[in-house]
Amino acid sequence: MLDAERRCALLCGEALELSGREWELLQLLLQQRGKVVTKERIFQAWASEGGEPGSGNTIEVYIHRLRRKLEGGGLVIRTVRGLGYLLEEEEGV
Amino acid sequence: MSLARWRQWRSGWHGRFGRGGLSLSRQLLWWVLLPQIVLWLAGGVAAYHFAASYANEAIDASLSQASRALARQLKPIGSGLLIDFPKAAQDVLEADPADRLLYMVSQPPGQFILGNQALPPPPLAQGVTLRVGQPYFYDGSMPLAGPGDAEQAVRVVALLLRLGDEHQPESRTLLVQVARSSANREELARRILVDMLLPLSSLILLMTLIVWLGIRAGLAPLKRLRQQVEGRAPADLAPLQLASAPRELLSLAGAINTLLAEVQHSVERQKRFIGDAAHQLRTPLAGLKSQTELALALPSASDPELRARLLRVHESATRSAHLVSQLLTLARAEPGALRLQDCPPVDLLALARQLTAELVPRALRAGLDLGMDEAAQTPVEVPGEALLLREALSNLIDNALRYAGAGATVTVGVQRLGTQACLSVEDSGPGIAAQDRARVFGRFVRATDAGSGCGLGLAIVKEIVERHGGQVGLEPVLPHGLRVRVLLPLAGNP
Repeated sequence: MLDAERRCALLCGEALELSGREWELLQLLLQQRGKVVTKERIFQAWASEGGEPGSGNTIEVYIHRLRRKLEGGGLVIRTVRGLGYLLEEEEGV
Repeated sequence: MSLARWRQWRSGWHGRFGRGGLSLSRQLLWWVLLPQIVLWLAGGVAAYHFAASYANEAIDASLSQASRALARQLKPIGSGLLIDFPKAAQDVLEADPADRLLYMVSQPPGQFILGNQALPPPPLAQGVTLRVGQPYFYDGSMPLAGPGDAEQAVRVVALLLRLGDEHQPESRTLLVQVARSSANREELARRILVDMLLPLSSLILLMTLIVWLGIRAGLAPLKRLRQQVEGRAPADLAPLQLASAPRELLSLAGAINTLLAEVQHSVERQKRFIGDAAHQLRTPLAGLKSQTELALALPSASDPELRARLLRVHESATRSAHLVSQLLTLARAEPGALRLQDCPPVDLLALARQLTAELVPRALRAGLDLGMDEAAQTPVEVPGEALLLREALSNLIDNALRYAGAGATVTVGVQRLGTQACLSVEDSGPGIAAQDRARVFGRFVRATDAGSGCGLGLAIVKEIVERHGGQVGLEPVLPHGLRVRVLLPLAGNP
């Protein structure tokens, strides 16, 4: 099991280049690891950082990018139909 | 008459005559009316007889008068008899063909002297003799129009006279008879009867109506009481309201209210007992669970046989804890004093989202795909108790996760259907056989032996949904699976 700080450090150590929104998104998913993060929650987080709320499928785009960057890192982002996303450790790691 | 009213009427009819015998209003009607009608009829008969006898007396008096007038015209002259009977008088006597007076003067025994008909002799009983100067009345029959005609009833007066000259006073006895057809008398009696019968029968009808209306008005509070008892839900144990009822009914209502209060008391006691018992069981079960978990974590628990036993204990402790918590929920969900109109509206969509999100991790661990159907995007509000509704939905999703099996898809949906909110949980599991679908809402009924359920889940859902004025139903999903649909009235649609 890895705590949030080390995971973050590890990811940073792997020189992940994350945009502001991607960082917010990852931060949120990590805080709520193993729990569902709703789309509303993600929009709220982005809005509180002063960013544009974005259109309907902005979230899908960012999730897609984040998934690619996290590949091989032992973490997967699952889509929960109708609700949002959930970050969990990849099975078998 | 609508079907419902017909049924009510029929059941009322059945109730009146099928089980409980004659209705109270009918009994009252009979008891009030029957003696009255009998007395009225007796009074009518007596009045008729009096009237008829007075009429008879009047007729007899006129007959007697005629006989005396005739007698005065008979004058004895020597051995002969002078009859001063002018033709005019005779014409008057016989004038009316419908009501003829017939007369006969004879010398007893049976010697006809004068007259227009042979009148029947007075039917004298033995030992009775006619007294001189005393008219004797009797009924007889004779052919009125003349010999050979049909006999008709007549009323006859017979007057015995003794006549004599100055030498032989009272030497001769004469019998004067005057007869009159009884048809006239019968006609009079008939008219009296008709004149009495008509007002009497209309009076009886009027009285029946008045008595019936009075009984209805008097028994109206009883009907109100019946409606109050009939119209209440089985679980409604509130006392009856009968403020303006008569004293007799108040005592009955009081007795019913006492009974209701006692029943309510005992129901509450029982509910409290179930709640307390479940609550008391929860703590030792939690202890048992944590102790087995600790025991499993011990290094000395590596013996596979011991481990297997401990795991079985842990599993059954978990199952018992689940059962106890379900029992507690059921005890809470039992129809109590939930007043829907007083409840703040609950947003079913927010509730479903929150609950589904909470259960997603568990679903993922079990290898199920749990998600929501995005049919509704605006709040779907229903009046109700949020905790109970949450419990119902939680039971439904829990069931789906338990029985749909790994790899299945479970979808929660919330949508509006007219004035109702529809909450559905659909899974792609094995489903429930058609013959079991109605049964599974019963308590401790399970359609499968799989999983560790206690058979209370759907019973709780049904209880909660019905308390909120809704319905719950199961339907199959093609090609396989089950959809549970809960319909609840939307807020603002009482």
